[in-house]
Amino acid sequence: MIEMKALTRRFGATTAVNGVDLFVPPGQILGYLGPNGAGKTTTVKMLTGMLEPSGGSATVAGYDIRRQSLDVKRNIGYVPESGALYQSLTPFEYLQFVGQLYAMDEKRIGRRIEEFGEFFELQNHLQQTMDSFSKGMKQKVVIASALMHNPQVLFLDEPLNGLDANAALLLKKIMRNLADEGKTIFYCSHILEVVESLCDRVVIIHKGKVAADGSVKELKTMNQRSSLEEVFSRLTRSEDLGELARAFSRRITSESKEEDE
Amino acid sequence: MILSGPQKNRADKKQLIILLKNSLRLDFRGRRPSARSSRVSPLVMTMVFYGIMGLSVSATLVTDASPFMYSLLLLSYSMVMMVFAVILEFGHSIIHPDDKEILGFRPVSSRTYFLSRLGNILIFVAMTGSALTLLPSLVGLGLGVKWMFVPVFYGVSLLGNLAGAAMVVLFYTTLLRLVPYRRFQNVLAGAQIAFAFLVFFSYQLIPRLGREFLNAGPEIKTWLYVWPPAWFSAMIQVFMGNHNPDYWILSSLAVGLTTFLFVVAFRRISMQYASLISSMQQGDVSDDEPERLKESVFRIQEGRLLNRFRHPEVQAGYFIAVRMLKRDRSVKMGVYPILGMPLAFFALTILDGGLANPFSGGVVGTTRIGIMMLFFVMAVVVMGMIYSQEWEASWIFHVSPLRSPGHLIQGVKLAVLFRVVIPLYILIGVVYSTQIPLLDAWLYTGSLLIEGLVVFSAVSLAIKSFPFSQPRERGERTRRITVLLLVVPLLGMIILIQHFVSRSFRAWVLMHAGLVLMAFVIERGALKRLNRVLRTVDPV
Repeated sequence: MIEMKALTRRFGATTAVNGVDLFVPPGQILGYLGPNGAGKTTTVKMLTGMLEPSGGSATVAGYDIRRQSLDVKRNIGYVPESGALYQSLTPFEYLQFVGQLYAMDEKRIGRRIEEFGEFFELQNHLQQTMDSFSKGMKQKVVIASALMHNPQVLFLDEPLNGLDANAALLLKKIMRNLADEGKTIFYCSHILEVVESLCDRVVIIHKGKVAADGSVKELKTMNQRSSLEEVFSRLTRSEDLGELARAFSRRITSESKEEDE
Repeated sequence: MILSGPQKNRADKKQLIILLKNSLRLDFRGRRPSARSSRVSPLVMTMVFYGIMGLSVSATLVTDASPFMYSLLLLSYSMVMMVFAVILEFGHSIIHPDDKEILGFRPVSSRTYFLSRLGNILIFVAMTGSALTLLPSLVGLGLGVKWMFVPVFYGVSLLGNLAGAAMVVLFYTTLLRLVPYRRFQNVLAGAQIAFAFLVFFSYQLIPRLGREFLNAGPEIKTWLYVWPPAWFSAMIQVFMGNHNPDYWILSSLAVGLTTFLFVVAFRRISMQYASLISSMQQGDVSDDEPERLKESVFRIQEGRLLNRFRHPEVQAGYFIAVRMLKRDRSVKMGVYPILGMPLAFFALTILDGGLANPFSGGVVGTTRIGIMMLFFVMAVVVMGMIYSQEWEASWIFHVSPLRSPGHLIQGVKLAVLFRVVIPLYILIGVVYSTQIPLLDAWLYTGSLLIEGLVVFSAVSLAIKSFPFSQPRERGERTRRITVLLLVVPLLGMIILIQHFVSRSFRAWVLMHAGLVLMAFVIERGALKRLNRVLRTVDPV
């Protein structure tokens, strides 16, 4: 579970996350949405122990992120949006390295790597350096590395990046199963269709504050909109996006015509 | 795709300027991921160090040397330094595969792209070279020459530095054309050591030769005809109105070299540059059968040995460092060229006949300097292990439950010790064994290792980041090397202490026991400090 109380992070004069209160129980998949720069990544960085909060408090898997950050880290898995990994290693070596960081037993590491290799269809690539891998293959390794140590809480930032349709479907099913087994999943994404179909609950953050919190159905009803996309747009953008797009297209087209003339 | 077709081989001036401006902006601005890191660009720091170095060398020479030898020795220093700087920075400048991700799909011709990279490195050389030669050009007035010497010396040395840098670029781009990229990376590590060895060997050889004929002209030694800095020094003499035929011949060699490099060679390379970059990118993918990496018996044994360490962080640090040393291009380029330095000093010791038995009171300065250089080079190597082209992957350290992050650095140091330091010491021991009694040779090598461990422990006091977590910046490697060169004279003090200690076996044993204790204490202190610093370091 995750619990945030008035969680705040300031960068100089800018407040990236402003007093967020949130409780995510075990077994729930929470979709954490927001426009660019809303404070999503900062929240995740604080909850994963990468960034010290400026104010407020939070617990992850029952551990305080300030005082027990090591215990927090032992109990979480994280898939960052960047998907960065050491490409000069092989998947086997990278996962072995990650397993070592979590003080896992060598035999257990080996067993897990075999299982993940088979599951993600990487068996034939386990001993190849990852610099020649496709984005999707690398992403599978990053996901495997987040699951290696069987964490209680998962933070996933755009985890479907680069995955093919089958792998994406598989991952969504894994998330569902993991949640059913009692794991907490904190899911950040801009792909609202996926969030709509997968998440039990959605939180929309805007300018560092929680703008909406509820199930997809509740949010639609509350905002009198038929899709999550429309709800999101209504809460985070004051202008009419359709009109904005039309005006922009008109400007580009007319400028091009003027240049041609 | 960077256009490589025949229709797009002309350079686009506007694009060239934009690309150049952008690369310079990036070089000067740097891209420090941590707010805690130094705000002074490594490039600026390098220029300051070079300024000090140029001033000190020229001040030493100006009282004794003839104008020709003054120019020759200073140009030798500056060209050697520039060549070495380009070797060190090569992976960051001419070869920059990341550019394909950003520029690959832009309408930039092969020649424009190549010229922008070449221009960038030449501007880098011009700036750092100016820092090295501007003050010596003014100090040169102390030779009693006309004021014209200042612009002539400065201008020609700039040309010489550019030609030196261009030679390295030509060498590597030619190598890249001949060898597939996957193999090129391995070849390059070896080539870097050899190149650095030659550069530093020459760096020390020139003053030795120079001392013999500080007041002589070019006619006395034929080797001047194969030493490019002599060609450019002769050009200075011609511009100053000295029309000795030897100066004219040497100058024509300088003109010929510059013309060849900038007109003929680069014209050919620039046209094929896009395909070179492309091959670098696709090298690994296009191979029919990708290389499979298997666990060797040695690695399995090494793994068992590592399992004995209580802290998983040590194991992880060792594990990642060993692999990065073997495979990460920027780590390799940051580590291997530096190894050429102590090896060069060691070769010079043999040349000087300095490999005498230290237990018979035969300690010779150059022997000690060479081996002390080794300690400092090791320190620089360890410091370099915080940089990597894959620095973005270091987020893993920030989310992992590291009980003692300092042990991660210790693991990395252990890898450097086992994979780099000890093999070098074994090499030294073997060479000593051929010169002095076997027991003395290995005892002495062992004592050097103990002394080196003190430096090795102290390095941790300067580390502020997780391993491989910082991007390489232009000038960063050069700065580390330059600092290294500046501290070399301080080693004289250690040599003096050792000289007195080696007279008594009891004093020798006591000193080494003390050193081991000191290394242990420093390591413990450094570990505490690292644990404190790394726990609060900002993530990437």
